[in-house]
Amino acid sequence: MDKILLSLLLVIVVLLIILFALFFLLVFYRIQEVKRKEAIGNYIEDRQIDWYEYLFGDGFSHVALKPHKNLELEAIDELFFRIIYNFSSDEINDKVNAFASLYMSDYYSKKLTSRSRELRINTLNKISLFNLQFMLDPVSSLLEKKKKYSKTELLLIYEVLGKFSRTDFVTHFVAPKIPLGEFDYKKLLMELDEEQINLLAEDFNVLPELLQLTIIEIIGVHHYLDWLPLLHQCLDNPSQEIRIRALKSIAELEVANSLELYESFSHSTIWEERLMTAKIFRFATTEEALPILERLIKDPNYLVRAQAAKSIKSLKNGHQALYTVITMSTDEFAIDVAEEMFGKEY
Amino acid sequence: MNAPLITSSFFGFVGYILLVYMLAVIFSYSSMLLIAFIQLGKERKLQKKLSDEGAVDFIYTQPVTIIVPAYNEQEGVLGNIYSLLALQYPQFEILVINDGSIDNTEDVVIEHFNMKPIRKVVNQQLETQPIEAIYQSDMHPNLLLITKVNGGKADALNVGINVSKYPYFCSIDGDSILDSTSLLRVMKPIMESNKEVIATGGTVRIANGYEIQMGQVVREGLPSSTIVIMQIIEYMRAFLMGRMALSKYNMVLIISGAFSVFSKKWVLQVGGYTKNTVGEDMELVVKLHEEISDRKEDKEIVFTPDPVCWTEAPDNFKDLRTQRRRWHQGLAESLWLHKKMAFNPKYGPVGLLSIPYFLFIELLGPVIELAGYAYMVLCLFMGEAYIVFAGILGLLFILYGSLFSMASILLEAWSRNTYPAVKDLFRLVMLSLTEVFWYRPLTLIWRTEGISSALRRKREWGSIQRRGLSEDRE
Repeated sequence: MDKILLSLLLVIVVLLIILFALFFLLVFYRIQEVKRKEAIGNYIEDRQIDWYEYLFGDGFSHVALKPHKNLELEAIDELFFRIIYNFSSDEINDKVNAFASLYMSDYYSKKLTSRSRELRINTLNKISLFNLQFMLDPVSSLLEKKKKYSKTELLLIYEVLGKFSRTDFVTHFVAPKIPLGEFDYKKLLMELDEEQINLLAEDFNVLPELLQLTIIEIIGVHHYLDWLPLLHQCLDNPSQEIRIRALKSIAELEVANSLELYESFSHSTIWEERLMTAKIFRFATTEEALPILERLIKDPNYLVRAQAAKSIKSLKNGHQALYTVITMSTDEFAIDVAEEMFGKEY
Repeated sequence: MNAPLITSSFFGFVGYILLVYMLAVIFSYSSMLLIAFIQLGKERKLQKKLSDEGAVDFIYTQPVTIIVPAYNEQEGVLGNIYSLLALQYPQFEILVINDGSIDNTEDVVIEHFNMKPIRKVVNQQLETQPIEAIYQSDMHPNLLLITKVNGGKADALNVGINVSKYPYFCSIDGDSILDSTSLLRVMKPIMESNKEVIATGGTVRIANGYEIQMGQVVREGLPSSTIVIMQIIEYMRAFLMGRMALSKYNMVLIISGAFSVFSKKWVLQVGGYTKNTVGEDMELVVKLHEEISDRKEDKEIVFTPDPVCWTEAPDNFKDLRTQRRRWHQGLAESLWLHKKMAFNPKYGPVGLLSIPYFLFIELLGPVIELAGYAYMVLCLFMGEAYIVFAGILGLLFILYGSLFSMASILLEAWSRNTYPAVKDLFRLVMLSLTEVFWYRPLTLIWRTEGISSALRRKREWGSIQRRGLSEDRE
């Protein structure tokens, strides 16, 4: 028993010594870190006028700002983040890009192949955020390596490809190295311009469903009216989700023609389809929309009723129509949502 | 066998049971500490501000309803609302639910944010006490105040769910404040998992003694009160060691009601918050786990260490006792309500590991530990052989009570590069070493009282004196 007690005592003393050693080590690193941050702060403070002249003025030579030490590179990297975070403009981005391509290419390339996953992620984030187009090739080459990258890294690599390559991104988006979810696709596609979306959606029918859904959503968000025929085509799709998303995007496009195509969805057994139809009809003429919306305001689903009331309100003479619902309807729920529309504005 | 021998063997047997128990607890805590260390190590150097930038985008960030149940929160509610209004998040609404407060909570909010009564149809999906009025702010149209008949925190949250218009809701206590990036970061696991995560909780930290203006922390630092510092240490240990490790294996049973986000669809499926328990936050999480298993869905509930919610901790023994009794009573009630899940393979790791962990270590731990303290004292009267035994137990208590706390402080300091300051770190470390001698026995007694309240089915919340975190309080 005494032996156990002694051993336990020894274990606790050793643990205490280890913990205190860690404590002092931590304090040592903390002091180093504080010093490093101070040095970066000092560089930024000392050179801020020169940087201001270079980024916001005309004709200030970058040669005077050429970094000589690693700490200066880190300070400039920090400065870029602060600038991009606070004042982003094409002109500033171009100057940041020009400076970084001249003096910081090795700095970022080295970090991109670092053994630390966190450093690689930080660097990929910066390449995307600072728009460092000259880093496209080093980033693309990562995909050719045998190394296994995390999902976060692969997504960032695809994001950079989407941002800086006009065509190469397509194959990676259509057949990514890891399965991508809807959120991932949205994040990637938000960075693309209309021309790139057109390229990606060329073979719409053979794309993975999640990518199709995202393209449909992007069409609505960015108001790509040229793609309305594709949305119409999606209304016949056997996938319920594709039909709902297509209706949602049509509602976003704020179109008031081809209403006969949408009307049948107001009788759908799927409430989301009825909801989106109610949303679409807010842009139709009062004569066309009212009969449908007056039916939908009595819908068994609360969200459909609420949307129908909202849509009626936005019609020409909508207030009058809502007032008629309040005074004439026998449906208590319809009266409630109609009354709510009179009482609130947001 | 004569009587003294039987007594002595029984006494020895109890001693061995205590010893085995302590070793099992130490093993569990060590494993959790190791998992937390590995997890934090993976993210330590990540510059999260960089990825925040990419996340603030309308289309792929889901809108969130923030529900603030408020009962007599006139001291803290303004700071809370200011911090919410300053959130970096593309689309959210704030619903302050005044749960029949008898102080000036309602007037303070109406006056300060220029609120006007509005008519609003409420989709009564959960049964609640009636709503008396709904107000909307003229200055911030996404801020609503709902006044209702008093029905308790769970009822107030259920009202918020009924009124909410977005697919996710965030519950936050009326006396807490959020960092501006907190909502974005707590929502990230939900977004990035492509909706496989149905609930997330963030870290809650104590802000007593901090300088807070307009709902924002402007200066961090340790408070002067020792009792508050001990709670800071406790929070670090609980959040880093317990929740991080359990979260990694989808076994987390508690995500703090002070700051958590849920999928509304899933919460409605389990009937919202349960009203007849004092630990409605844990109860909801356990119900969700039960539902996930019953429906055999591959969904997760996770704890995210980074997003921070600041809260006010009790700064006197009376209030701390009330709080700890209540927490433990909530734990006991939830475990009792879901007793069928314990050791049931149908519920996977939650039933086989998490619930037994909460039952034997978290719930019964205080009783067993108190028995251990009593045993040590008795050993001193049982002769020389037992003195050694008492010594072993005492050392295990130190290992379990103080050294784990110290390790958690160091882990926290290591994972966050600049907090706390070296002077404060030293103070935290030194105080953690005293924990086992005074603070821990006290909390053990209070938690045991909580078990007793649960057994007697007491339904009192008990009131805790709030001073408010913000300097700009009314």
